[in-house]
Amino acid sequence: MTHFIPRYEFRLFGLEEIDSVITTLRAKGIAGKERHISEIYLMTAGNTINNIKIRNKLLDIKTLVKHDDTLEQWNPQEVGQFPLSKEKIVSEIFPALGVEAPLLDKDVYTLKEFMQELILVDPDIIVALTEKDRYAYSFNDCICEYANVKINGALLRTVAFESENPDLVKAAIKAIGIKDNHKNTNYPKAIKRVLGLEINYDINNFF
Amino acid sequence: MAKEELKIGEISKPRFEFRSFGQDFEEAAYLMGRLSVPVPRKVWERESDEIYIVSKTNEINNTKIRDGKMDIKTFVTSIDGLEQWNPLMKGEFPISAKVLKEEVFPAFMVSTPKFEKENYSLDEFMEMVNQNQELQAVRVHKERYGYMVNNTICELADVLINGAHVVSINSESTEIEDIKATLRDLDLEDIENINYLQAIKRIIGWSDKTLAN
Repeated sequence: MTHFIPRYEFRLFGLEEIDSVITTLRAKGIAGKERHISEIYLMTAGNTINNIKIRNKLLDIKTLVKHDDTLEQWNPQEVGQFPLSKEKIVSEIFPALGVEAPLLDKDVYTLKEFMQELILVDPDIIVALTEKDRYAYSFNDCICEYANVKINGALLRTVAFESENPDLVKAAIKAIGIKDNHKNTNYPKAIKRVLGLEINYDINNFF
Repeated sequence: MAKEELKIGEISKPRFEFRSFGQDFEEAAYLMGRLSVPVPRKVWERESDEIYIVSKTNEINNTKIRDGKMDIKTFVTSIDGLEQWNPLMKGEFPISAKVLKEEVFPAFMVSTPKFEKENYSLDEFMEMVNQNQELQAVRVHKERYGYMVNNTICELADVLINGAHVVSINSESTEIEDIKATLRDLDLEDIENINYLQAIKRIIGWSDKTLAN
């Protein structure tokens, strides 16, 4: 299992409202790689701390370990490459989802079997297919990016700053000019808003 | 029999509709702009905030709320891939329990809750939606640009579904052949007809189908 050092992260999602942040990052940051990535996110209403996704048949889970003022610290963990064992699915994936695992009748599951037999049939799990055009930058010794993200075909933009050192992230946010009313929004939260999994039914929020 | 001349923004007999959703209809939008006849100023640009109530068990009734009013359209038929919808019900909040029981919840095709009051405000109705696992309220913001091509009412729209952006393109008319001619002229013949209900369900993950592009 590959071990990553948990990073502190600040991320925004939006459309025109984050244009100025992206423009400033592009102007002040040092451009890096551009990547196009397709991923499958597994979402459940009850799970608020695990970010579970599949990319290139590799499933990983990032767990929210800490809040530091406006920053979030995430601990990434690779679960493994498909095909995955029944043990991993039952002991790692379904607990992370926060839903009860079904009875599994195979010892090993391919990605197709996992999705068709275990995920798509579960009414408590919603799948979000994402397509990301990601543009990497470095700024203030932070790993940064902005991206155009399609969530089940609908588009949002995102911009993010991360580092193992929270002070560097806070300094980067300040230098970029991110305002106090911009709230740190992680990927699962943004996706759930689009899917309607976390929705505030206060009618005033609809208009 | 002479064809009905459609007047954009006015009520006509039931129309057939082509609509699709995706990220890129730039070419079709350009052609629509070039081929359109002049349209009334009031439909050049229209903006609205709406709530669609989608149901896991229903594919034929389209329910939305705008400006404190609810309207439900029902699917009638599909001919050559073009859909015809009819108004089923229109109501205003506060709405009576009788209408909710006899018209609204049957249109959702979900179990009807117990009604303890005679009338329900919009907030109270939304709470009922929240309590029902088969229903979901979806925020929709529309910026619509109206056109008229081949005597069909056309529209290009920037739509936000729970805050995320899609583009919608549409042609509707009482005359199927006029819509077909429009789709040829706009190079949309190979594009899937996706109505609002279907688009929303695809975006919120209630359908495994994708948008047109």
